[in-house]
Amino acid sequence: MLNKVMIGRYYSIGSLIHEMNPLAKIICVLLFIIMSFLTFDLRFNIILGLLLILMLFNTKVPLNIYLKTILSIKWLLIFILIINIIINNSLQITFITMLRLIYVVLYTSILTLTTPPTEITYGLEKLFLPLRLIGIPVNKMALSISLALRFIPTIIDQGNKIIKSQASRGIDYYNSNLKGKLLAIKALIIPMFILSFKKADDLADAMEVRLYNIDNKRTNFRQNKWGFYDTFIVLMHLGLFILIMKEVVL
Amino acid sequence: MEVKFNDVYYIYNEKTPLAKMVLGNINTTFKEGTISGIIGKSGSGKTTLIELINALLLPTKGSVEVGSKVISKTRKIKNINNLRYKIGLVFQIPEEQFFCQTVKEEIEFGMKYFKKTVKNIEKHILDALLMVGLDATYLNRNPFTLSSGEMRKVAIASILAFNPKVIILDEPTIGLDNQSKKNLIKIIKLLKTRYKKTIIIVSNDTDLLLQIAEHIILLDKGKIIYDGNKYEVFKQDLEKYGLKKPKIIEFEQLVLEKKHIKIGYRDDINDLMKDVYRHVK
Repeated sequence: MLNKVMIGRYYSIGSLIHEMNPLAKIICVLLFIIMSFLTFDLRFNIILGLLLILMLFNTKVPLNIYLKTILSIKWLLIFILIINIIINNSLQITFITMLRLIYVVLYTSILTLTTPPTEITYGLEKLFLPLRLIGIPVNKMALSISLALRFIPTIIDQGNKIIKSQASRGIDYYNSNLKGKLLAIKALIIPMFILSFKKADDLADAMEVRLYNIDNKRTNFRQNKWGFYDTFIVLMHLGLFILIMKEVVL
Repeated sequence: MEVKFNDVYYIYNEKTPLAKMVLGNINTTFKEGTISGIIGKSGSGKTTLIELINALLLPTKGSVEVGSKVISKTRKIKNINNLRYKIGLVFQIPEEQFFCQTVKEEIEFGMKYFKKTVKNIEKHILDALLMVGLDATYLNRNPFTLSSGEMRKVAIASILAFNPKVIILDEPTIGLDNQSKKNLIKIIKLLKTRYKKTIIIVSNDTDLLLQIAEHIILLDKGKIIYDGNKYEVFKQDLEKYGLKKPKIIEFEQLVLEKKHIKIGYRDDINDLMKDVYRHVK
């Protein structure tokens, strides 16, 4: 079950998108999300789709992983379809609403699949840097995000181990009926919480013994340089963004 | 119950650029009523091998025969619980194996959910606890608050309670003190001699394996390097594979063979010392 969770997974492979500056990728994601939520125009949605396909192919991540991501939101898509039918929306609006969601999910998965969690934190830290001027503790926020992201694979790993342990003693999540599945999930939640808190405590102790001080200025092991490709991709998104904004405002 | 591997391969993330062969060309048999040991450094595929026996993983190629059941990717196993009921697997880190709120619930889980009619569950729970050296006072305790040695014992008890025919122990001595280790050895020997269980132990504690196992498999990078009698395997150059020789074998090779003292192999250091003393005298 948990092996199928693609959210937050990093796919380690060399590609142009992998090598992009995380800040550039985050800016592109934000622009893309705003763009896809602003327009109901089918032409722009086709252009956004083409941009998405271009980015997808450049990541070199197998397409079945993206397909899995879409399948993981199938119930949400069905729900949107039903709601749109109930409120009597036109076919085009229903289609574009569903398409938007697929676009956003796929584009954000490009970010998470091609950027390790620590790099995402780096990008967010750089993006929110101007907020320091008004006294917002950007470094503390970045640390919280990086710790939260760091725990996603740990929790998934933990869940898998408990599922295996349950399976070896009579309740196999994959081969059970609904009652068995519910029982397996019920037995999964409490130990996952207990062990995650324990691991968080251990991590806090480990940071403390290594004299970690949140207020110190921190440097990065990997110096992410802004290259030509970053500028090119961001400008491409920005150009499309201006075009859509012009169309929407006017 | 015999466990047989027929040309088994296991590949993680198959058909993706991240594909990695964890096990390859595995052909071996764990005979009924014997104790076998699996050794190899971290990442050599030991845990994957035992998870294949329990059908927690399915082989990418080849098949695993457990008694009359065949585990393979192409043949779906009917009623997988019937197979797992016969195999008790104690995981490497017991803490990660628990999911119940009390020791009692943890031990009775297998008996309850394998849907076999087990009469007198309470007695089985207590017997299993006593067998591993714990008592009834532990029944209502939270397994997460126990020490690592006690956790290990509860994990073993939770498997012994439903009386499986094959018992697999993944690194059973980690976190155990000397006395608990001795008790564990006693339990394992008892399970073999009195209850005729097939026991598979994954461990790099070669001293322990020399004492209790008969058959040893050495894995390296997912391949079987040596498979045979423990003396034959432990005589080999284990350092090459990141492992230490049992102290007794080392003593025999470094001291006795050089002094041309021939007394044969001993499993226990005390027996060896007595025989050396007798020989010198």
